[in-house]
Amino acid sequence: MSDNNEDFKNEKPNNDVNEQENLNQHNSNFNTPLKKSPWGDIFLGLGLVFLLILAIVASLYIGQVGIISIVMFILLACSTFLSVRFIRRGTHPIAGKILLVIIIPLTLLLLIFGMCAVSLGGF
Amino acid sequence: MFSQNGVFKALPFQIKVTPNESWGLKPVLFKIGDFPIESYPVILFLALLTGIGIYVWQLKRDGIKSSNAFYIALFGIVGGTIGAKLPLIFMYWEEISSSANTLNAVLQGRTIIGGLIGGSISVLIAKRIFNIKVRMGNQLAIPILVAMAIGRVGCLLRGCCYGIQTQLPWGIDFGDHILRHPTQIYEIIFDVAMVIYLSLRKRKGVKPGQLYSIFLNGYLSFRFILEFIRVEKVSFIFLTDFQILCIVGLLFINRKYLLSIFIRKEGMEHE
Repeated sequence: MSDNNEDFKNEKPNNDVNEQENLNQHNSNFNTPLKKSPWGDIFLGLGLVFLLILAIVASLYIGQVGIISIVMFILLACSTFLSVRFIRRGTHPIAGKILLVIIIPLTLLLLIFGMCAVSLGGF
Repeated sequence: MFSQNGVFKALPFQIKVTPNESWGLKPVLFKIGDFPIESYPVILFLALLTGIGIYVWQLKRDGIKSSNAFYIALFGIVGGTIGAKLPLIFMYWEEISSSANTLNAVLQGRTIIGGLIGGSISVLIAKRIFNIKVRMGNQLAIPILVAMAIGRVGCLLRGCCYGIQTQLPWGIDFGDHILRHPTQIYEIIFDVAMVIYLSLRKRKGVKPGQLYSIFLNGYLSFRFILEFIRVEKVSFIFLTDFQILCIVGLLFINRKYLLSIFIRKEGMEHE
């Protein structure tokens, strides 16, 4: 650690203008982000949506209503956090948005449909 | 696709919900052919739309353009939905599990108290994880109250969340020829009064997030009292499950205040 600091202190300033320009150019080339194809993101989003729906349909086969509901809630919460993480960090914004498009209707389905009270369910 | 002979097994339930039309003031709004359009989901959808509309209008009026407002609303709705349904699954585990129609059983049952607590916890977790510093409580309180008031109209039409028997002239018969306390209307009146109070309070100037705290304290206290005239099963001494949830909610909202009192007391004892 101390050796590195000493090296930094002993570093001489570079007075060669051409060399500095070359370095700047090199750095600027390094900093410009490469144009990424959106298809990777789109397929990731579609894949995650497919996985989410598959997991929800699979959970319906469990048969125990309580466990199905809890599994659904866990899936919903995890996918919401994942989609917002993708969008906010900017790593996979399109995938995050595709995931959101499916999460919102699913949440609304759980929130709006069905009876308000369990006793009115008509078992 | 889900045939018995095919690759996939048939789902272990029927995808069919039959509403009980003899209960409630107007459980079915109208029919398209044989398909009934139920009043409860329609009113709930309207409540959600109105709530979101007022939230967006308030954000515009207060000059907030941050995308964080969207994330807070999203986590509020998702967390609120989970919080609204989760307590009922544990409360009515046996009743729900014995249902023949699994999809109906998964969809039914929700409590606004759980929704408020779940939404608040979800937003707090999201704010910590995603490092969101803005406080939207002042913009959220009024839209939630308006949505709740509209949602209770759905409860009134569907005939859920009703009160105990009464001889009062405004008692309502929901279908069993017994006059009951219209607890849904009591709650609508409270929500409207709270909206007026919070609007006046906002004009005078409030701290960030203060209106949400006032709203939650007010609503949970009101609901605790209202539960005494509602038809709910008593689970602990004389308290219903929802009253216990109200106490949990009140402790959660006022945790910082309670902790500060506790720390102050400890400090005085040490001195």
